[in-house]
Amino acid sequence: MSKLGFNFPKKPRKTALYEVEDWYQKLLAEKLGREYEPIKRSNFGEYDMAVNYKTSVLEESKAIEKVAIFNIDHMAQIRFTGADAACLLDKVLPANVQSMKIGQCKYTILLKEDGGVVDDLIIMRIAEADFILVINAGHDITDLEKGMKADIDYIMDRKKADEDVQAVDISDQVVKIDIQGPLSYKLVTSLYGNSVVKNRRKPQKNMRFFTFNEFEYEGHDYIISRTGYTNRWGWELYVPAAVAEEQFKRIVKGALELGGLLVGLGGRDENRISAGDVGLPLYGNEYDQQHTPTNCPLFAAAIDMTKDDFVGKKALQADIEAGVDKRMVLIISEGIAVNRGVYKDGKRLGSITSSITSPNVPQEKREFLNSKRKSVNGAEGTAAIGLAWLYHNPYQVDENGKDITKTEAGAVRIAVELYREDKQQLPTGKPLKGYISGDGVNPATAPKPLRHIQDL
Amino acid sequence: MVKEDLYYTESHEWVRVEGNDAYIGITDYAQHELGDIVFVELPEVGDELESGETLGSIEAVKAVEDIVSPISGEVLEINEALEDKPEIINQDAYDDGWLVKMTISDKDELENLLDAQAYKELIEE
Repeated sequence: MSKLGFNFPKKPRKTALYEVEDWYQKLLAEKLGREYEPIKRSNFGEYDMAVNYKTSVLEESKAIEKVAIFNIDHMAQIRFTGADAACLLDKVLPANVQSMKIGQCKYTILLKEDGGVVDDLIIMRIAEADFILVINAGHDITDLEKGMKADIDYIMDRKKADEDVQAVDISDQVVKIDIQGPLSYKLVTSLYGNSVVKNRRKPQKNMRFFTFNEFEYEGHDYIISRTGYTNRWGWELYVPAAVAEEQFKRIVKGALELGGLLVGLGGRDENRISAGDVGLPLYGNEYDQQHTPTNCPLFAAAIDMTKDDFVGKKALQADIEAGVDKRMVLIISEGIAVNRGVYKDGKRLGSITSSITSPNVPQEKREFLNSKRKSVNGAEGTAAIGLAWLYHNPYQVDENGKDITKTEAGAVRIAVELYREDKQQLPTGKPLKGYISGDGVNPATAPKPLRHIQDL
Repeated sequence: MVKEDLYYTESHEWVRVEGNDAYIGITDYAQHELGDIVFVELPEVGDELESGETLGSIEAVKAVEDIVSPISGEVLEINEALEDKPEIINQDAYDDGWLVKMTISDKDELENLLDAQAYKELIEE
C-alpha cells in the first residue's frame, strides 16, 4: 500500500501565513482604532485556522462585495506526473481527465466503491502528463488507526505495478491565497500585470472561468486560476512559499485600500453559501463517506456517467436506476438552524447540513420570512442561510421529471418549519421560520464575463 | 474575566444570588467564544424550570448554543432589553447582559456549582 500521506500531527499545524496573519491583525487594529487581541482560531483539517480577524464574521462576510482575501494554505496540492498519470486519474476520478485541455481546471468528487464521498477537489492539467490536484485540508493525512487515508494514497493504491505514475505532495512549496469579489480583477492586475488574467491561447481575450495561467513574477513561478469558493468573480493564486509572506502583505494591503478585507473561516463559510442557486457544498457538512453525492449541485459537471468506469460508478448508477429522490436546497431562515430537521405541513423533508448568519441577504428576501425577530428586518438586518439535503421533493416537477425551481413569475419559494429533533428524530420545541429559495440568496457572478468588472 | 462573587457552571452560565432569588447569565468567556450575538431566545415569565433543563438559546453569527438552567425555580423576570440589543451580552456579560431572574427552589443545588476559582481553572485548561 502507498504511504505518501503525512502522519497525523501531534497538534494542529500552522499555515505558512500564521505569523504574518498576526502582522495583519495588528495593522487592522491600528487602522480601525480597535484594541489588538490575538486572532481567534479553530482547528480545521488539523490546521489552526483564523475564524475571523480584528473584524467580525459579519464584516468579513460583507467584504466579498468589494474584494475578499483568504489564507487557503491549509488546503493541499498533490502533483501527479508520468506517462500513465492521466490514465490513473481517469480510472479513479469520476471526471473525464483524459479529455482535459492543458490550462483547464475541473471540479470533481473522489468516491469510495460504495459511492460515499472521500473528498471533492479541483484538477489542473499543467501538461499532457502533469496534473495538480487541489484537495481539502486534512485530506493529506494517512493514519489507518484513525481511519484516515490521504487522497494521494487512495489514488496511488489503485496504480498497477507497471504503470508510470509519480505522485508528490507539493503543499510545502506553494501557498494558496484566494482573491475574490468584483474588485479582485483590479487588485490582481495592479499587483501582477494585465497579462496574468488573459486567455493563454487568445491573449487579446480574458481567461475563461475554470482555466489557469502560469506566470513568472520577480523570478518566481506562480499559478493563477479563475476559480474560487465564493461563486463570485475571483481567482485562486498559488504563490511560491519562499515569497509567500511578502506577497501576502502586498495583497492584503492592496485589498484594504480597495475597501476589502482578509476573511477567516466564518466569512468563507458565509461566502460559499450566499451566491448561486444552492451555494456550494462543503466536505464534512454536505458530503461525507456515508452518503452518495447523487443529484448534488454540479453533479453533471463533476461526474461523467458516460465514462466506462471510475471508482464508485456502480453505486451511483444503482442510485440513479433506483430513481433516488434527493436534492440539495438553499434555505433562508430567521435564525441558525444547525442540525434541525426540515418540515413542511408536518412532514419531514430532510435535514439542515450547514447554517450561518449572513449580512448579504437582500431585504426583500429577509422580510419574506415574516419573522417577529427584529434582527431579520430592516435595511441592515441579517438572516441565517443554510443548505439542506431533502429526501422528499417539495418542488413540482416538469414533464421531464425535473424540479421546477423557477417560473416566469420568479424563483419558487417554499415555506418550511425548522425543528430541533429528539433522539427518535421527532420534532421538539418551537420551530424556526424558513423557506426554500429556488434562486438562493444572490446570483452567482463567477462564470460571468470579466468585462463587467474590468473597469471598476 | 471571571467575577469573584458568582457561581458558575461547566457550560459557562453564571448565577448571582440576591436573597431568595437569582440572576442567570452567560460568562464573559462564553460570549467571547461565541462572537457577535444576534439573537437571544428566553423563557416566559412564570415558566418553571428544573436545573439542567434548557432555559433558552443564544445565537451568534456562526453558532447557536443552548443555555442550561443552573438551578430549579420559577422565572420572575426576563431581560427584555436583549430583544432589541442582544449585543449587550458581548459588551457586559455579567451585569447588563443578564438573561433571567428566577426563584431558587432548592438552595442546596448551589453547592453543585463551581466557584470563581474552579471556573477560572476550567477555562484556563
